[in-house]
Amino acid sequence: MSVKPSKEKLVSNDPVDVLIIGAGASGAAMAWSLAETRMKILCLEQGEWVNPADYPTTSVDWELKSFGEFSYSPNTRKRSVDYPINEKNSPIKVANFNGVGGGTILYAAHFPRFHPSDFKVKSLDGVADDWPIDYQTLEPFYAENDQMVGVAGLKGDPAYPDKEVSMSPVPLGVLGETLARGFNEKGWHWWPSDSAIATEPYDGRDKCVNLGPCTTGCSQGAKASTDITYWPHALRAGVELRTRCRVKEITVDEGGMASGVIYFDENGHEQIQKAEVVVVACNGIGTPRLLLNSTSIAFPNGIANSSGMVGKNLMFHPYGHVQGMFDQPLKGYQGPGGCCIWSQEFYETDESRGYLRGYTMEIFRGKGLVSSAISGMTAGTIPWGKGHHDAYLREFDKSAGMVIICEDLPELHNTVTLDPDLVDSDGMPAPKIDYTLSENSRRMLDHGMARGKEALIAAGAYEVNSHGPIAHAGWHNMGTARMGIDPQTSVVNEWGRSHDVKNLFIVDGSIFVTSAGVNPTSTIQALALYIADAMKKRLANLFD
Amino acid sequence: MAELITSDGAFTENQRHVLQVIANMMIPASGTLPAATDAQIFPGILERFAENTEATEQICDHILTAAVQQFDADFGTLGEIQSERVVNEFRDKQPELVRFIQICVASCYYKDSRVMASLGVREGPPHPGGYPVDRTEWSLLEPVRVMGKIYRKV
Repeated sequence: MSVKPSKEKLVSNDPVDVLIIGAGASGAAMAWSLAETRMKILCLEQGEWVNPADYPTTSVDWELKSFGEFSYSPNTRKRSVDYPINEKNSPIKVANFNGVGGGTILYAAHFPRFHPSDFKVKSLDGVADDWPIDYQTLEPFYAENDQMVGVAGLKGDPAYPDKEVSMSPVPLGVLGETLARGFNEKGWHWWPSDSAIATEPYDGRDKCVNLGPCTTGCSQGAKASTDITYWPHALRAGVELRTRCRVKEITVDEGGMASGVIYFDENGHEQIQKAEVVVVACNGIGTPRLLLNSTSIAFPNGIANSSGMVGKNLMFHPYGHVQGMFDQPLKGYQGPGGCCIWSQEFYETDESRGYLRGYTMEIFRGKGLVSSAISGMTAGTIPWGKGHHDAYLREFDKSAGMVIICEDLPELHNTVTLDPDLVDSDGMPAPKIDYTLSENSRRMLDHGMARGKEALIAAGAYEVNSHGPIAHAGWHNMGTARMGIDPQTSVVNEWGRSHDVKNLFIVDGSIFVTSAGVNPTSTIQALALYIADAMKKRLANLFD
Repeated sequence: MAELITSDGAFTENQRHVLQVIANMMIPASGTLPAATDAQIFPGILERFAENTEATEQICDHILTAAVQQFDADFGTLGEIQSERVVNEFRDKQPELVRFIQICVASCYYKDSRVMASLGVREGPPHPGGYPVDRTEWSLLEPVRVMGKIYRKV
């Protein structure tokens, strides 16, 4: 338990009705949804607004910037608003962004939903746990979120129950069509990706111009990061968003209810913010970090942690990388870099494959000039010296590939804890990750990479290679404050309220019970909207 | 060593020579394509190195020290074969620093207008121009449409 400074020395702000911590995918959706209640709502965000004009793709040095100040590794990026992460004991390293929009600033904007089976893995496959909610419960919130975000896609994907799309899918280009023919050759499922990218003007956003790298931030404003989707609406509706405010701890009153937070302002000074309701939206690393750092007499092991589950069951999505070389140019650097087509041929469980659950194959487009050179030299396919140019010409714009995004299952020993030594710029303990790839995930990765190679060869690749797990691909951080009916084994109930503290809610990826085999943002936001809806329906007796 | 790399990006003669040898080893001239040590490219590479003095000092220290240890001579006095041997041994032992070198060199080389033109890539940043991509012919999906639903019912 930390020694607390005297509260009399801290600046105290006017109390609010609802305090949301984090302005990323879930915090923004929650703020927008609750705004209609006309409660006094405040969001504290440790990062800043990012001006799209500052994104790397406005510069000729855009690839260099993506290795530095716009790297998705906080340990590489090292902006003043970032916090370090001790991830030495994990083969998968965390990827994130701290700012208004959170991880959506740098995400690829893949926007798949979970499958109905993803909520029932215990019942169907005897592993992990069922969610306390199901696909039907979330379906209207998926739809509401899709409308707010604007999802480009094509109706009729046989891998999903019927759903609407907002606009036409992203174009496949030569690369996508080439690989689609490969999947057809194999007789396997594929479909244009559901993408949170505007292919036509949408809600004030301009349409995508296929400039390539979405994962360094979208200068065009076509990609649905929450700074340009939910936040403009939430702010117009009266929500206050305060940036450069890093929450240190959630405070509690004598009755064991959350009373607000203490946060560091941009000058490193501690301030008090009282609130009637506290909503945590810091995702699978930041949320357990904050909860574990919020110790008190009532909660010596961290707030909302009587179950001991805070920080346990960390799930990533182990990613496999499969790449093939083709004879012809594929124009791969043209088009939304991360979104093209996907295949869910191997998504649902088939025990004969040697593992349970499944994965999605997601085709990515080509690399930029610099990335092509660096990845080729690192892999040894582009030599130094004589032969460099010839090898480069053989590779540039002639490679295509995919990632295998595997469902990770929850395991107690995969954890987020507080590092005993490492601290951020405000002196707050940094998170420490301990994670081991399971045998089930290993087998799934191997299966997926082998199938990926088959698809690429069927598409015409003359040379294929793969590796996995990809180290710097810990985009999806889930499960560390899991949802459940039983307070002994979960942190929040079936509508996101802490079992222990009845005015404390969690709405981000940390409440996932299982991870599914798809990108989580769509489900994170649908959950946030669902929890906001549950709160609105219970306003009169929210704390009962 | 720290005082030898000044904040304005200037290098000692020895350090500059080390970086020049490395850049030329990585991307020599070929046909009409320039080398990384081309007069229009190399100054930018030096600026990149100067942005991380700690890593650059380590690189130069390794190389200069190895030259003395292996050949009892200054790196600058070594012939081409000997220089390359020193650098190649460094490449085997220091993958993180090699990655840094590759970023510094490739990020400057592959934005040179002559190099971009030779690859058929439009000069300048991706935004705001972007790229035209043809609309997709969705008849490609016919084999998938006839599959029927493949998700697992619960």
